Amino acid sequence: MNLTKLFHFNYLKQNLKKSRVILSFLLLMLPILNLIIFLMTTSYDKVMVFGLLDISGLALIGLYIVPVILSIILFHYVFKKKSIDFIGSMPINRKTIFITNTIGGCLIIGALIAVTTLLIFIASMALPNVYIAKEIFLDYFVLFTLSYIFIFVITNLALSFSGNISTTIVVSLLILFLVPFTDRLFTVSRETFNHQNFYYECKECQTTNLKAYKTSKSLYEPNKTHYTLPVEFLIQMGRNQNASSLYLDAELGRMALLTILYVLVGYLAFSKKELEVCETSFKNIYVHMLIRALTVLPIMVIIYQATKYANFIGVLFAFTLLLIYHFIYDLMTRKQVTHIRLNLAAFFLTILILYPLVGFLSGDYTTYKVKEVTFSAKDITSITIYGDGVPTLEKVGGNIKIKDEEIYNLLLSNDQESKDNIYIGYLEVNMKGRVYRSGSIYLNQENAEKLENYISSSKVYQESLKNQLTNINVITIGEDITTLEEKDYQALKEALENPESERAEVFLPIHVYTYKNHTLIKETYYSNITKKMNQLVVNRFNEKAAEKLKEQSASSIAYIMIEDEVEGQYYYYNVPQKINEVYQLLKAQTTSSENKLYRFEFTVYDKRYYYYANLTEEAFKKIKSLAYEAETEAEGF
Amino acid sequence: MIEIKNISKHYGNLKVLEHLNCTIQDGLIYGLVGANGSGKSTLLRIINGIYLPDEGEIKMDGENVLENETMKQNIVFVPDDLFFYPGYTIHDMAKFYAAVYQKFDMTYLEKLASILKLDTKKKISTFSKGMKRQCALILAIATNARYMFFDETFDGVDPVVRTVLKKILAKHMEEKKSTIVLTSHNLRELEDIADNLGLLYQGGILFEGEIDEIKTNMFKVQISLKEDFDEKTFKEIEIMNFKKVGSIATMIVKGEEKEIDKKLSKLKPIILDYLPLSLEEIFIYQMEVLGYEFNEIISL
Repeated sequence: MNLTKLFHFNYLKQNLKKSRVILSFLLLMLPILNLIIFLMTTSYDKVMVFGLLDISGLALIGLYIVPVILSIILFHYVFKKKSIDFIGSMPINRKTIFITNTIGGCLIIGALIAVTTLLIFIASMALPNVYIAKEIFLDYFVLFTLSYIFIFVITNLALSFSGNISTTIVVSLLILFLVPFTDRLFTVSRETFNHQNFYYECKECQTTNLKAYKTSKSLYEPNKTHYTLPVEFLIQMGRNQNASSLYLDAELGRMALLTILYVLVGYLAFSKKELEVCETSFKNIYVHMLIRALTVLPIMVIIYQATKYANFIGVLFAFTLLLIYHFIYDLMTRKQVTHIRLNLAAFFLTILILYPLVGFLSGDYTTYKVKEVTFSAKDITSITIYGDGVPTLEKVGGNIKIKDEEIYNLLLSNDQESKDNIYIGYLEVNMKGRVYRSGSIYLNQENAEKLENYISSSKVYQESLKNQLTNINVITIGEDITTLEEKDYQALKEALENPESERAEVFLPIHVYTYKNHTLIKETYYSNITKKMNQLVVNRFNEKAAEKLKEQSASSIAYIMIEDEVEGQYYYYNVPQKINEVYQLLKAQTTSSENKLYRFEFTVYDKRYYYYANLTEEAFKKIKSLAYEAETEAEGF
Repeated sequence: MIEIKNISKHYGNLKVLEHLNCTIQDGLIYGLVGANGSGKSTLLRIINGIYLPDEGEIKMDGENVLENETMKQNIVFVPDDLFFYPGYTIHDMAKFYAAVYQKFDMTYLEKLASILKLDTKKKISTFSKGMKRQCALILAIATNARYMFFDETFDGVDPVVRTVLKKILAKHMEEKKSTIVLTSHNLRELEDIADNLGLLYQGGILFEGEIDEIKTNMFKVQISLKEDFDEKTFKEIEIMNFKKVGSIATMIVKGEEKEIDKKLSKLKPIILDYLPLSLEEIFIYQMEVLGYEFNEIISL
């Protein structure tokens, strides 16, 4: 196939020109709206660190709309007899039209995503408190260009078979969702069954009683199947999941391969397309009925679940609605309802086939036995410890992969019975090519210590220590109020390597953002890991606070609130004179060190600012007394 | 030359074209006539590569036309239901044509538009039906295609405009040596324009020939002899139809007029008149010979 011969630039130019208004609107809308939404989500008060998903909101919504519309615009002639006559008679082959439109559409999508990415990049550069790792922009461009093209070629493929726009959309949805939906229905029901069954094994157990995880048989196999981005995103949103690893989960390789496959099949199908079949769904009524039956599958899942608990009238009502759906579908896709008897026969046949099929997919007709898995150290490839109960792991992001038979046995000696046992976290066991996940793991004192010593002396851990705090995007402190400077990163590293056992009561969170393996990782440490680190962090805060206070005059402050975290007290000042006095005191105190840390909050023109400041005991007493005076004055005493 | 070989096309169980064979010589206007639903439009669409035939092939100048971009540079089609992009002017449409037809002549188009007094900068949607047909026609002519196909394009066009369009086409044919195929369900319309005619019926060409030859080789004779006579009296002449009322017979005869006159004069007739036949009448009698009721075939 000589692509240069099959690409007709002049035809593409004219094809785009005829729809220039709607095309311009479509292509400008996404980048501009995306930029506006991005700017609206930014804040001048806080440091904002954006991951891939954070800048992807509109692009993800546009994924289901823009490529479909683009395909329909480029291939619009196939939907009307008049335009079919016009374009069909032109000295340009169907193969040329298909390739030209496909390449043209891909280029348009590439340009669209490039512009969208560029605008966000420029905006992020212009906003001083916004941090986006540069790798994210490349990932954004790759992920969305590929995903948009994927949906675009699916729509092209669909219209190669369909006669009108509504059927094209239906076929596109089926190509995109049918297989993943069926797979998901099959596996989720079994995963649920799999997981829940461990509770049922233990007769005296309740769902919250961890006795069910007493033995090594209590590990279950989580479903790690992922799908293409358009499907994966909906699944993760449906689970209310933080889709921070969307890039990795989106199965880019599969999308790329499927894209190529769909282009090839579409190329062949379009060259054989019967253009006389237009303004209706399909030439063959049986094909139409088959496609209609496939669209019933998700509806049948709902009906199936509903009919399990409904009475006869309820069941009859559900199936009547299904029948009405059949007729509405025909009206939408064929603009008429014909072959009434045939349609009724198809309706009953659909129920006869799909209802039990859904039952089977849902796991209702299979006797699922719990797999008794015996975990043998010899068969295990590795165990990953997600140890939020292991202090050592705090330094390396909370998890570590272990390949040591001795430690396997130690970990699998999980014992929750004793109250003195120490909570470790949970495990992922990799054995014979499968991954199993545990519930909470507890070890006795001796084993817990053995584990800690093993971890801290292991090569993997040492390597992790060396590699931590690399590829840092930004380090924020407080609730992302401000940032640490790059020169402080070394100090943080040293502190993590030599943490102190006695720690200050008042501390601030330190969030380290790194972009590794296409995922924005946020690791949280605490400033009281060493006294020196605590002071460094507080100093940075104070510098920021001083900056903020300098910008404001006392008259612009609506109120000041000071929180005494230790005593749990809050003091408010909204009397102008008192605000001024507190303000002066704070200004005087912000450069102090080795003092107690207090959080202040003040508002200026409805914008709330937070900062942390050191106060001497004397200053704090003075401020407290001002609060009482302010209260008294406000109440008119 | 257009060679249509064994073309078949079905829409479900409906056979639209069935093993259709036809040859159209270069340099003439071929009229394809048939009732509604006889397959005229389908045949044109197959020739132009819009629809794919179930069977058969179409060759022009010895080359297969299907998906042949080079060959299609020499073909242009004006359908019955005209299509223009919304908001486009003649100039805009011309640019589209120019993008795909390498030999498109913009200057020639402007000239034709000025002859027909069509504003090339005005939106086509504001034109009348007749003016739209003129637009479609001049755009097609400006492609300089050697083979032009018009599907009921002249049906309903007023006589003045039709005359102008005929002249334009005739001139174009003379200059470019082009071949025109046009369809109609109206025989009278085609008689005015076409050189050759073909009758499409039940998926095949039932009858075809040159119009002049058809008209000059068939005519009506009214005759009366002194003696009694019947059809056998005229056995030397090819008679398509014979009716005698009283002593006067009306015959539809086929052959050269001079020869027939010579033969009839020998019989020393009392009355001998030659009356011209319309194309419609010729077709009626031809079909009757073939065993068809013509009124069932053609709407008048």
